[in-house]
Amino acid sequence: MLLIDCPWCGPRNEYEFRYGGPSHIVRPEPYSAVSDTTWAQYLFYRENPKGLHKERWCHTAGCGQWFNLVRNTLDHSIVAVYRLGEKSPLLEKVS
Amino acid sequence: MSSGKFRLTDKGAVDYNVPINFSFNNKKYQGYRGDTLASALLANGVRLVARSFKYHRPRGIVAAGAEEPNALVTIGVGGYAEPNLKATQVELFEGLEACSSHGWPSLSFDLMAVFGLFGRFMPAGFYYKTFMWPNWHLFEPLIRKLAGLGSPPTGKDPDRYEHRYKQCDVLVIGGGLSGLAAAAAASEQGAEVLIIDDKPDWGGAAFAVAPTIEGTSSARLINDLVNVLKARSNVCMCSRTTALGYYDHNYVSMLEHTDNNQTVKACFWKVRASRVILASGAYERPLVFPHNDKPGSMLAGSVVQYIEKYGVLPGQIAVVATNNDTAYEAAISAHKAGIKIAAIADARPNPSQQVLSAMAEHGIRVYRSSVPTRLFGLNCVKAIQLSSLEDNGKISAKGLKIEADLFMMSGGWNPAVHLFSQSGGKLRFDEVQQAFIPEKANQNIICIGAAAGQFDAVKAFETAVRVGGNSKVVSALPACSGLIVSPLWKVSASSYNDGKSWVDFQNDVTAQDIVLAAGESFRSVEHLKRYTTLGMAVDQGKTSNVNAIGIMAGVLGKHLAEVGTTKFRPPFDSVAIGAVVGAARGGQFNPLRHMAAHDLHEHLGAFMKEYGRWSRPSHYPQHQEIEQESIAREMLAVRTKTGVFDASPLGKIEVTGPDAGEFLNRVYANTMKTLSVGQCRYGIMLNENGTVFDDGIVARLSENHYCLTTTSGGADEVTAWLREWLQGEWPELNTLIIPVTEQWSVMAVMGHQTRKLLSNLGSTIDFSKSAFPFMSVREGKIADVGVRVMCVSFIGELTFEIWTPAGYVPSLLKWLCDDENCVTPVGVEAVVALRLEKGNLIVGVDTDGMSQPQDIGFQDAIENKMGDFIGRRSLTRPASLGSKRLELVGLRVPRGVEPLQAGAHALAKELNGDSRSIGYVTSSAHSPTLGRSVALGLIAGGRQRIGERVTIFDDGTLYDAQIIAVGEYDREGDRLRA
Repeated sequence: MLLIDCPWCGPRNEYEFRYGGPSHIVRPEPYSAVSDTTWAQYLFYRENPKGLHKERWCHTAGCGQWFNLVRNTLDHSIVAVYRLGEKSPLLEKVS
Repeated sequence: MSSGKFRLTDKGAVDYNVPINFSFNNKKYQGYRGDTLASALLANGVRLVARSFKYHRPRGIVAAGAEEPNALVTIGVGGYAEPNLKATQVELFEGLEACSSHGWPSLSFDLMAVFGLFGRFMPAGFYYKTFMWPNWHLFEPLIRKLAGLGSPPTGKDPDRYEHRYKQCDVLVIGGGLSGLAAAAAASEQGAEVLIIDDKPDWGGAAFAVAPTIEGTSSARLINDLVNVLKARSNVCMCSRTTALGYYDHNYVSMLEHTDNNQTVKACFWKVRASRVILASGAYERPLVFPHNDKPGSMLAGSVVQYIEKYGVLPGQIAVVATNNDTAYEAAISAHKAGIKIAAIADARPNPSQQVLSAMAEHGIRVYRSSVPTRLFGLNCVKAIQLSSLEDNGKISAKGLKIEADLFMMSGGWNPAVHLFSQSGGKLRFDEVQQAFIPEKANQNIICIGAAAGQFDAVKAFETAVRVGGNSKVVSALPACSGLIVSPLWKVSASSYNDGKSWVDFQNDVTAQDIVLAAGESFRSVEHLKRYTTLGMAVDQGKTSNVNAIGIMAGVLGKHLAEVGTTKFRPPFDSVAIGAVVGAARGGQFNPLRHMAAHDLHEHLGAFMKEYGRWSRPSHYPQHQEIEQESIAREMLAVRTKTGVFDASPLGKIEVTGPDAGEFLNRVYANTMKTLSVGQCRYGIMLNENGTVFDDGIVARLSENHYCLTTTSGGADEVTAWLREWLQGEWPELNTLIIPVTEQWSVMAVMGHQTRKLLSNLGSTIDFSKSAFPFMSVREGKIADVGVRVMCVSFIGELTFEIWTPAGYVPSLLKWLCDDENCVTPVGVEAVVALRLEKGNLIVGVDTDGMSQPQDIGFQDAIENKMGDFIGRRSLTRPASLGSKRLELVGLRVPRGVEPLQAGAHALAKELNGDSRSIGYVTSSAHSPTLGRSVALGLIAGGRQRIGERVTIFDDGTLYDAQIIAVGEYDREGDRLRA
């Protein structure tokens, strides 16, 4: 049971949240100019890193806000939490 | 009735003033308050308490705590029955009725024990190998009946369990001397401390292993510490509480047993601790040698517990066998209590001079380089055979037989690292202690005392105070000390006929099984465990796992560290499922949502059913109607007169702000930009794969104010979905999303006369055709209550959906159904059938996880739309463009055919004459309006096949059907323009 520090509400138990997959996925646009390959990459291909992983969560049972966090997949420690639109504090270090 | 004749009056913490009557296997006994069932049985001289799992061998009490492998009992009868409780953990209470989990027809005469005679033929994997032909499953039921532990309760668990949640600065697991000292030091600093112990009282094993610490008796020290902790408001003390699981971010689950006169039987705790101090002690290891499993064969430290804590003598003459010094302390304790120590066999050639002179002082004979090689006796130990260990490691053929009724063994100690390991901590194998001890923590947890391999009581106490008092001490685990163990994983039998050497008493796994497993290449400990079932019983191998690893290492010629341990998993100790479930059972398991007019529906005769977690009227049977009759009557009422349907569970979301229109245009697959104020439009939502995942109505209430509906089950999901896109993808859009499903109730009034009916409602809304056309929305008031009304249709008749604040809906329903208006209440089943006549789909019923807009008739709406929307790009992927996609069509069956089952396949003949499925029926119902069944289905290339005939394969019966366009009732939509 992770303890997630919602940037709006503070630390809460994991079951108040909904996981939304990896963050910083760029949606290719405009749709009329996106190749099948690029679109498939966007839809289906994800990193599965051993170590730091940037991901998106929503505080569904709280403020309803989506936000980002960086979690270490080795020990589930959360090393950073930041709002959508903000730059990852560890962006350079994370592959 | 007999009172305990093995009872000491000058020792123990039991209350001799309060005798307690109990029964074991229907025989009456007496114990005292403070006894466990195990201590009371030993005090009554009961040695045989159980039969073993596989061979039904007679077994006795081995230990004094959670590690007990043998003494499994069932307490209570019927629904109250709780099987496989350890007698060492069951507190005695007046009227307690306990039975052995095993033994048929009686414990002392177990017919199944005949299996023991064939024991040599039944090694690990025996059943699987022997009963392979013709099929293991033929034999399995019989074999399962013969084996197994305990029986499940025969009734529903009538007990009450609760859940509790807590946060604390420091959680101390284990209330022995180390735990108490750490808790006192931590709370001294002002930390919020929770300290737990699985026993009803505090002090752990300290008083037995460390009589004094720097001049103060440990009993006194414990008493003082407990008083200090009890007086502090920042300390919470929970006895009878076991930590079961250690999860991410210092989240610990615990089980608290209440004493036996509470209304709540047990309490399941979930604790989030900033820091965890693990002071869980250590478990002693048995010695592995032939026939080591006789009743009367006990762990030396546990014997001391029975003497010192319960004032119970488990025997009269004892032989002690050991590979370390702790057994000498146990021998002295037993000796002082009046047990005659006939001999001590020490596997080491040179025990320390200190212990030797102490034994000499008490006149106890020590045999060096000696090991036990056999226990004699049937239902109790009668004699012990000792043999000398020669320099080459071989056992001398000669044995010395010593008569005794108690065998005290110590094969070393295993620190209770289970929770440390669950937390992700790494273990290392310590050569001095011959045990796995904590090395590197992965979370904020620190081990102290025996759990850290610290067996020196004085040092352990000092460390506990230091660790408790300074939260900065996190990584420097205290070095283990105070115990030197000589490896003795198994006493090699000199010949096969010496009999089996038991490693896992509870699952009847022997040293021979482990050797066999290694020989058959099950060499990884995880394989060994599953092949032999070692460590897989109720005790989870607390006494057996490390011995097994040692034996495996010996067979493979490897080091124990290389063999490693199996994964430690929760729960640490067995737990009733009822405790984990807590109050979430019966109606509380998955609570149904009730609508505001629930009571009124029941008053109107509704038959309520569950629909997507809502309790809703299925139909309203009248005058002995059967379900089909009721549904048909309700449907005809809607088609010919007026019906009302409670649509309150409909998902409702408000979308507001200057960019709300733009946002909705990107979210819906069809155009929403052109929707003008006061208009409604049906819309479908896709995910990025282009799959239709929800649909509903969008109503524009004012310039910047939209309200949309979702499917009844989809409101939460759609809300989260909309928020993700708004917040994550288009933060520049000035839009607000507010879910309002519970705020509004909705009554759908259906029928061609509704305009006239609702004009009498007394509202400020003009229901005339010119003022309120089809697919529009109006706001107004009924008697000062603000309402919204939408003129839409799902079922093919003109429908006004009247939204009122939730609490006001019963009065509206009452008005509609009163004697004057006579509107027919209509249930879910009728509405679902009515929409089927009309051909309106339900997302998730008439679509599947592949359905895209072009498959359900929205090709034109998509093509005409300008700009991007969620899922648009996926609609032009190659797979989306094929002509073989499953398309929604109508299926017409001949008159007289009952409604088809959803899922029935449509078959078409191929060129070679074979029939092949080309799709399936998605929904079907009887149409009283048309006088026959109607159906929708997903058919490959369906729209191109309209007019073709197919065969429907419905659960073995074949029907002829024709593929038709969707919708059979009022295709032109004249009814909606009424």
